[in-house]
Amino acid sequence: MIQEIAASQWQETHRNLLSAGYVRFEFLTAAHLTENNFEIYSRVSTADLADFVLVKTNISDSVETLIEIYPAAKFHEQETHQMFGITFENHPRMEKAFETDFGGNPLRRDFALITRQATNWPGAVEPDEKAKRRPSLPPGVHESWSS
Amino acid sequence: MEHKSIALHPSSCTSCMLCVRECPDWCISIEAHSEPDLESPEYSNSRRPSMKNVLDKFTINFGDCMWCGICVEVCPFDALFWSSTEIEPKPTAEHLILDQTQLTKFLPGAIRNDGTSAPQENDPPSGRRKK
Ligand code: SF4
Ligand code: SF4
Repeated sequence: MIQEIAASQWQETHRNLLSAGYVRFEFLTAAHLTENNFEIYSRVSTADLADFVLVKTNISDSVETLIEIYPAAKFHEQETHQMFGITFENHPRMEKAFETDFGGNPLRRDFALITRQATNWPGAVEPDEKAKRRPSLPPGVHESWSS
Repeated sequence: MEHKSIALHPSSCTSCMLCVRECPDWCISIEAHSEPDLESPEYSNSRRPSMKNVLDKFTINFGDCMWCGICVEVCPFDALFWSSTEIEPKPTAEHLILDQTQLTKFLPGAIRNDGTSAPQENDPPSGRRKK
């Protein structure tokens, strides 16, 4: 089941789910939609894994922590913080989850992938050289990234 | 069907570059050139001959491919197909870059989106382009 909720309901929804028997915290992650708009997801399930709920909400750049409700959220929130730059309010250790320094938040849309900069885009080939077209650019790659 | 490899029917491919440009992993690459289309009806009675692209080399790097199927979906000329023929284990990552000769070998297990079987090596082009 998928539950779409308002960001202000984030903690309350999870508290209700826990008391309704969804005791397993499976994961928490996010998606970067636009500049300051993220979608954040968590998935919880019953102890026997027979039923699950995917909770989903839109946030700007911060949301309340779920640690008090589901302690297992601690690492996932740190990881989401490192990957997306989202802040989890009242998290006791809002630091990076992995030692590696990625030089930014790798899963944000504005994070330039090093391999993309170092690789020539195969789509730049134009079989008919006389066909005067605007040179095509790789989709989803910001112009400033190309070498 | 099982999605085990991606087959190419080279004579159907017009080197339109759509699959190369849409592949999220940048793992397809094409070398092609254009030459006058002698069989085109406009060729003899127009000042500018119509041109056609000729495919020289088509490779898919199965080391990078993530089996998303976008290239199969996007090909407007029915030149790429999912195939149930397995890719044999290779000694190094570079051996996973397969060219048109090797991709043609996947055609026997390949099917179209509607479930019918894909054209085989010596069959005429399957898409809109006439031979
Ligand atoms: S299936 Fe592989 S080759 Fe085709 S678009 Fe996806 S990643 Fe690229
Ligand atoms: S989309 Fe189809 S016709 Fe176009 S280059 Fe790719 S395989 Fe060839």
